[in-house]
Amino acid sequence: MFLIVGLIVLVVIGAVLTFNNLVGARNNVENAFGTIDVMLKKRYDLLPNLVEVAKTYMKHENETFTKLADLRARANTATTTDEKVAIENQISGTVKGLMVSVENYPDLKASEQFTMLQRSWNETEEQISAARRAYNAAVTAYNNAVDKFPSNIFAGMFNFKRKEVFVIAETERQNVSAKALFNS
Amino acid sequence: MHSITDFKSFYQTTLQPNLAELETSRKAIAGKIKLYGLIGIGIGLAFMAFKISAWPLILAGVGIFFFYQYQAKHYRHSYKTKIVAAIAQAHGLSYNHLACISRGDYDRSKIFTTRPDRYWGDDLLTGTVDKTGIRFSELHTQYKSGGKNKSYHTIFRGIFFIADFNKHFIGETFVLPDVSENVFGSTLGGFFQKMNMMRPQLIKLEDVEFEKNFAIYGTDQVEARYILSPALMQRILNLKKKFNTQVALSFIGSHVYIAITINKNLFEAPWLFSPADNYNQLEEFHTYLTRFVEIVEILDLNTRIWTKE
Repeated sequence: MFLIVGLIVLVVIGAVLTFNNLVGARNNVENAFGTIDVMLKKRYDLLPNLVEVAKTYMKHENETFTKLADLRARANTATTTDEKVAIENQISGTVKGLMVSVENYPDLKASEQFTMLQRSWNETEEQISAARRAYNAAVTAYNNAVDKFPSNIFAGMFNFKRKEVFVIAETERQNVSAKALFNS
Repeated sequence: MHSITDFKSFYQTTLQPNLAELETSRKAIAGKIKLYGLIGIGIGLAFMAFKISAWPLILAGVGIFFFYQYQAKHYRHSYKTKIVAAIAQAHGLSYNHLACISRGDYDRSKIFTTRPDRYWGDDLLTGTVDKTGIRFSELHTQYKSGGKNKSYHTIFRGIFFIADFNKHFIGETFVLPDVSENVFGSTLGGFFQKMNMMRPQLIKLEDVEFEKNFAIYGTDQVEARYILSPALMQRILNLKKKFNTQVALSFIGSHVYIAITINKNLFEAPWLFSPADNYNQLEEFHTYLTRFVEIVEILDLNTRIWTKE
């Protein structure tokens, strides 16, 4: 009799732990996604400053500046995640291109203010990439919980679905070379 | 001065004249010790032979021992200040053989969670490699085991290395040798890693080889990845391969702390009764110094493209 009761208690405890683990993993994913948003916000705030300083020196890049302003406006109104990601990637790519053409403007390159902004930009880029990697790690842990026994039983019962990891866009995979940016 | 050929010419032009001088005084001291030893023991034995007393022999022995200790200490001192310091200087480092990484720095690194009961170190080297300040020394820390048979056990022995880190961060990140995963395998070992109460959160990184070698803990999942970029993970692996020993790192308060296990007393003078000029030993000092200075390069600490200058 005691044995049966004991067994039931054990099963219930096990079930509660497994379920909580699943919920914990899902919350971690949401939290990690939020962090990416925070980092992206940081970059939004930086972008106008960067453009403002660059504009005063770079006379022939107006097209790029208009494109960046446009992208930033679109990013603010984007609703789906896919759309957001696509715009973010475009912003990254465009600024990377801009940084390379800085080479043609020695005055700008020498500007302390611009150098500092450039450094801040590199920092936020790296932080965004770190946040994405953290998100992917959280998603992997969550997916493991969804697929693995015994938590897959609960996942099926309570409709926990697998989530997709971030895939880095082809253009972003090409490493930024510090030398190309600073030509030091 | 990186290459062995450079070192050889440095040895010939700078070290050999100093070594020759040192050798002369070493021979004189060694001769003195031998002479006094013979006289002392001779007199002592004579007293014994005539069955007067054993005390003179004992006194002579004790006297010679202390005389040797005193002379050897002086010899070591001049060897280190003249020879080792010159090699260090050639590497752009300043050298203090009596100092070591402070207990405060050791504690701040939080690499070792056991509180040391014995803290010993020497051979402090400091310098700046391009933009990066570094300092390192030999350290040996031990704890005392309780119970009836009190004995000391080593926590860490080797080189403790501190450098400025090139990125800003506020939390704490640890890269520690992966003991539990090696012993218990990835599933059970991973469980033990997670349960480690002495450390902040476990951080799972995507580099499989890095994960196999290290257990990573940090106060912030994102910041840990910001510090440990894919490139830096590879670099840390290279560092470990280069030293071919246990390496533990922590990133705290704008510094990187690196504990490199080396079971050898480095930068020591040869025995008083052997020649001062031992090329192989000097080359070994040079090789070690090169490796320590190279850490900055291997970890790419001089790349300052982030807000930290």
